[in-house]
Amino acid sequence: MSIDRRLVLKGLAAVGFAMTSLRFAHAGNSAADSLMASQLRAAVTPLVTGSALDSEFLAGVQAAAKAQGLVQNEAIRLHGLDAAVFSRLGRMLQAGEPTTLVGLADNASATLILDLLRSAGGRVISIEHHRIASDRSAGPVAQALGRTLVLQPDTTLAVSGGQSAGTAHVSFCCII
Amino acid sequence: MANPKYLVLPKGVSERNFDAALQKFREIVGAEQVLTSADRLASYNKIMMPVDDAKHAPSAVLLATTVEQVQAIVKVCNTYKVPIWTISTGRNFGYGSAAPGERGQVVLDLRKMNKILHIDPELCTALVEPGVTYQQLYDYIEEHKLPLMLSMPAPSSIAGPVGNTMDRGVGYTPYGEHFLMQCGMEIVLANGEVLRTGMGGVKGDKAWQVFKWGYGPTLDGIFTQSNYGICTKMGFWLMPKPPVFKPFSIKYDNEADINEIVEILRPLRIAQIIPNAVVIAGALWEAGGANVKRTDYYKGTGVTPDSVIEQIKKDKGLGAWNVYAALYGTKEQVDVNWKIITDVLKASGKGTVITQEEAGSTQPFKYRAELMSGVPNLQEFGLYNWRGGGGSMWFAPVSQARGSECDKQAKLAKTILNKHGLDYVGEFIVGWRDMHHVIDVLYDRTNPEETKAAHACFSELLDEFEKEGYAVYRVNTAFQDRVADSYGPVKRKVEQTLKRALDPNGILAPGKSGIRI
Repeated sequence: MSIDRRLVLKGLAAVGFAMTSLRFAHAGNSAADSLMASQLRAAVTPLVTGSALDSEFLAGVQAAAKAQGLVQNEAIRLHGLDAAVFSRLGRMLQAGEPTTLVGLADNASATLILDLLRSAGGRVISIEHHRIASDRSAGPVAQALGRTLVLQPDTTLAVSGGQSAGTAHVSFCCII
Repeated sequence: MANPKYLVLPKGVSERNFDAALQKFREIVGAEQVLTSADRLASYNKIMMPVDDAKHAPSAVLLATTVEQVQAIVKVCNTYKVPIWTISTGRNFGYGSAAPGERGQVVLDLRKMNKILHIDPELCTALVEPGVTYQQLYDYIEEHKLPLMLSMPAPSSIAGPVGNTMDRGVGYTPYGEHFLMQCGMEIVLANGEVLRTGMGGVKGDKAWQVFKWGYGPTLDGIFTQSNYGICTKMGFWLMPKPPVFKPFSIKYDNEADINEIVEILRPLRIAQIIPNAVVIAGALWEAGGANVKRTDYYKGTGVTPDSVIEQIKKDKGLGAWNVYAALYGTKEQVDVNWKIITDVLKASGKGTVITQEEAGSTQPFKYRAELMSGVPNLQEFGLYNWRGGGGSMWFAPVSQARGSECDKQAKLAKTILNKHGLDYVGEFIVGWRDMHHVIDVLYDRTNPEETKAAHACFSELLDEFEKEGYAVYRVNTAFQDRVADSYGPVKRKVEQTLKRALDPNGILAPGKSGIRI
């Protein structure tokens, strides 16, 4: 276990996350596995949708990408449900350079993004719904999510409990 | 036990036979167009229904690009008895999305068949492939400056006319009854033959997109909401773009007003004074369209209290019911009809009329006006942020367009939803004489208790509405058999007879609308 990963795990435990195992396990396809592994080492593109946790999430992604020596592309920032913006995103996903897309989005945006990704032939490494309380723990939670999606994308994170009143978010890691 | 090579096998198909079928598929469409790895299949398994994802897990996805490929694929399916579930754009969110109806079915994804084959600006017709989206059509019409207007459902921008029409979806313009405006289909049958409906079978014909009926039995209808064939081309009619478009809203403050609203609107709608599919949207539907999240106002669990809904209405300027309609035509036509409408409303003594000039660019008026004028947008996806958690099912019973019916349905639905701790998020869409009552059963799919409640709620909605003589016109893939039962055993038997005749091996979407061999 690398130092970075240990730090992430420690951080997650501190802010009340439970770690669960890989959600989209591979079905014995070693060629696909190695392709995925090499693509995960390519550039990272963060995506956010205008929540109060955007900056913390992006900070987590940035720190992890830096620690891993990964190129970090400029963040995609979506605000609202403007069809033209999602159209451009769809075209970008279709034409884009290989990248690992890591995001923290509201439910509506995530529904759209993940389906555009399907149409672009993207690979889904993890998708997880969260309810994040609007208190002091929210920032560290978002930051931890950003870090984990880069360092350990095949691990899903679940809030350990008591967050039913929190604001709904979806985190995801996909490969274009 | 998990299969080591595949996530899941199609029902009744051995690994050896699936290996062989996949090899044949690769020869037909190319190895890159046959997806079997978990990370490629994951987004085809993203459902919003309150059932286990595993029930709708695909075994593979095939990406076809030509009719010939589709023909070859069904032949392989017959050889190896592999069931396929066809999608066009796969954006039927809340009805099953891109996931197969049953576990292990191979998804045949036609999104790469996305050519606009023909648009005739004089006859106002179009012929498209299944992967064409409304946004694509809109962009084409704008780019070529064609004097035409589209009709589209709310997920307009990313959905497409073939999928929406084949599922008998609706839009919000005078051409909003989409199957009514469909004209000519090309269908790949289960045996690989290609059928063209209407005039499409006549050599040298030029009337395929203008005359629906052809000769003998009209077949188009049996291919909608069914599994008798795969639609690879569809024609439909486009509305000439009117010189004047006048959208408006009428705000009503009380839930009890629904009876009167419908009684006022029905004569205007049947007489085509109001020519489009009028919407009567409840407060929480509108809140979603106005980007409101429940947690912005309420942190508790269960039903949103009335006091909270009242506060949202006040803050966002919403009514208990919010009517949206529009007038289309020349200035003279619109002026005449506007006077008729405003006189009727004035005589009723209720309702606050809001014009486009008054609403400006505020939501939800803006996106409603766009939908009524055929401009794609995604604003209604805001509903998914209302509660959050990714759970959504559309409960869509139909009724006569009578105030008493709507009042009864709204009360019954709200009572059942609230009993299960869920909110009434609904709207009525006024057809010519019918009413589509569309309710989004929103719930947190990550919360097991709420998911269980949503399933129980949906079942109870179906049961209780059926007792009152109502049935839904469309349903998600988890409740297809239940809804098929509502329409009676004789219909199911006829559908099965047709299935056995047209698809004797049952390879096309077994279970779709409850139809199997």
